[in-house]
Amino acid sequence: MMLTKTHKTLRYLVLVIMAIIIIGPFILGFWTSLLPTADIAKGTLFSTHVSFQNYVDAVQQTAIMRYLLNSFVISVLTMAAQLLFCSLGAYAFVFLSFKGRDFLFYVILATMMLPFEAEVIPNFATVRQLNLLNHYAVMVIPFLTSAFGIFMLRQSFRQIPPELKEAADVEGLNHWQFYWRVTLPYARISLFTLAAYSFLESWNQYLWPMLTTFSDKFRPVQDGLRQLQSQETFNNWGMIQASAVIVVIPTLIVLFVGQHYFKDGLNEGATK
Amino acid sequence: MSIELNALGKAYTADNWVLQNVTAHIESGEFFAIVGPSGCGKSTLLRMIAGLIPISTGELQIDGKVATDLPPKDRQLTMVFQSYALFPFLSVTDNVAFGLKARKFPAKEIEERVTKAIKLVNLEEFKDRRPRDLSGGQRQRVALARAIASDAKVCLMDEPLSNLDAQLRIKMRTELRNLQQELGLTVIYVTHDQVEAMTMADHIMVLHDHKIQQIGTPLDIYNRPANTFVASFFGTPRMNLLPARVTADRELTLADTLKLALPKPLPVADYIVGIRPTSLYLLPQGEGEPNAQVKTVEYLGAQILLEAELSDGTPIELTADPDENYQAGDWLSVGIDGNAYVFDHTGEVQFMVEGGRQHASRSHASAQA
Repeated sequence: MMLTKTHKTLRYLVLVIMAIIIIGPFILGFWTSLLPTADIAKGTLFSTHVSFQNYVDAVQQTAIMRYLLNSFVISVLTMAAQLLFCSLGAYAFVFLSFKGRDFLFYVILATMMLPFEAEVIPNFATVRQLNLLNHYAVMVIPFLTSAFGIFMLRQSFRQIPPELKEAADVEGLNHWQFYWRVTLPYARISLFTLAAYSFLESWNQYLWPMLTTFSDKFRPVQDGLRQLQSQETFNNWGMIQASAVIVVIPTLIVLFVGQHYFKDGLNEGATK
Repeated sequence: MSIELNALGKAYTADNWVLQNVTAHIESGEFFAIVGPSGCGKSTLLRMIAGLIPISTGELQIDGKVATDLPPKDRQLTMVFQSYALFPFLSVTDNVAFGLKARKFPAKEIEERVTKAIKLVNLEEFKDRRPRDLSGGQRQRVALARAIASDAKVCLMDEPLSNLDAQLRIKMRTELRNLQQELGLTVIYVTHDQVEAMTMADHIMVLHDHKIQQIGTPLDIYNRPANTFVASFFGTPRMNLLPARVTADRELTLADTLKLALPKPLPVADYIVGIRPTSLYLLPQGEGEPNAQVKTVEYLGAQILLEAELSDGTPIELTADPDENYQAGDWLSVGIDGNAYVFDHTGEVQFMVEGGRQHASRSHASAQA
């Protein structure tokens, strides 16, 4: 359908307005991170005192680098564990047949219906019993696998043509070999998606680390940012904004790199 | 390596037989086709031989050794699938090498075998491409190369050509047959296409209704069908099956219209007589007593196919010279001048009546299509 010129203009107008509404706060945040706090406090947004001093201050005066390291360690460990355990779980649900397989899968699905907030108190009691508080472990171990990840990879593994399994059986591949050499490469797009998703989910955790970490040594970035605000009576907004920008960067990198892999059609040609 | 099927049977639930009593002997180096309509169990049988589906009853021997319960990899065979089953994330070379790597062959031997196999199927210039960058025919060749590269001497093929277009299918038939001969492979080939089976196979097994209908050479199957199913499944255009009854000591009347002289007397009963369109003749228009009316005319090039009705309304297919100008509604005079097959009312063949025009002596060369 050809759009008339007015139609087209109207559409773009709506899109531009929506884009401004969404990107506006980000641009504002980025801009204030370049301004001295005095100017921000006075409300002179169009200041000429633009510099990267806030970034230097953030790195030198706060534990932001430590927070970043903590978050990085936690997110990478969580992501790796979820990729491994979710894919193994999904493999079992697709390629192994055992009694109660479907029932077990639905039980796992059912756990997705409980909001995490509802599990916080029993989980907290458990990790305290295990003496895991204020350690990387407390932020990784409860998230080693996820029902969503198993669900997503199961769907993806089910797309694998049964002939590939038969061909592998004829060649004598055992389950481990088939998992490693066929299933994982075939479902790599879903694995990348899950990797990006679990990394970001872990990176953006706030409630759980706030409850379970008490020192900068293990505190991840999102809670670190909060920490910057409450430490001082006078908030250094420029520096806080600079820290926030630093914290967002890894997210952008993950999405940017990930986008490259989220292409369709990589699995064409396996079967007609 | 020869293969022996000994009363194989498959039932998924008790007494619900998908296949029953399948017995056959497949010689080493033979091209053995399993033919039948959709759902007759031919792919199931192939997967039972491959070991992908467990065998319920009977015994399978490969190379003289019992293989009924062996895992697929120990049966020393390869398989080519209808959908090719290529690994989309591997190049052509790696796809071909896949099985050899899984079986832990030395790297040097893998390379030699893969190079040779790719050369045999003429894919050298595509060896670094991914399956998605290949055409259907090329993908099929990759699947073949994978089977060739293996050291297994038995290759199972599950309708490998049915996803190709008609032209390519005919070309690949010849290539496949040549490759099989060249390499001395034992091939078990599943197809629903009777022409494919006729043109390629040394022996054909016809499956229908969960049972073997007939095993024989293509010529056997065509010239000596065991029952009405085999008779009508093989040959294009299809064989006419006409109801018949005994009207004299040595005479059958087909569809109350055509008379067929018998070499020996038959007990009085209902019979079915099969006659290929090529074994029927037409008298020139205006001659003889008309006994069939043309319904449709199809031009096939070298001949025309007439769908007609005998005077009692029984449909019959006839072939005729394309020079003749037939129109729907024309009345013709049809006679028998080739082989006719007499089946009992259950469809089992009783005997064949050698051809020859009843009132003139003519050879039945036309019975060979």
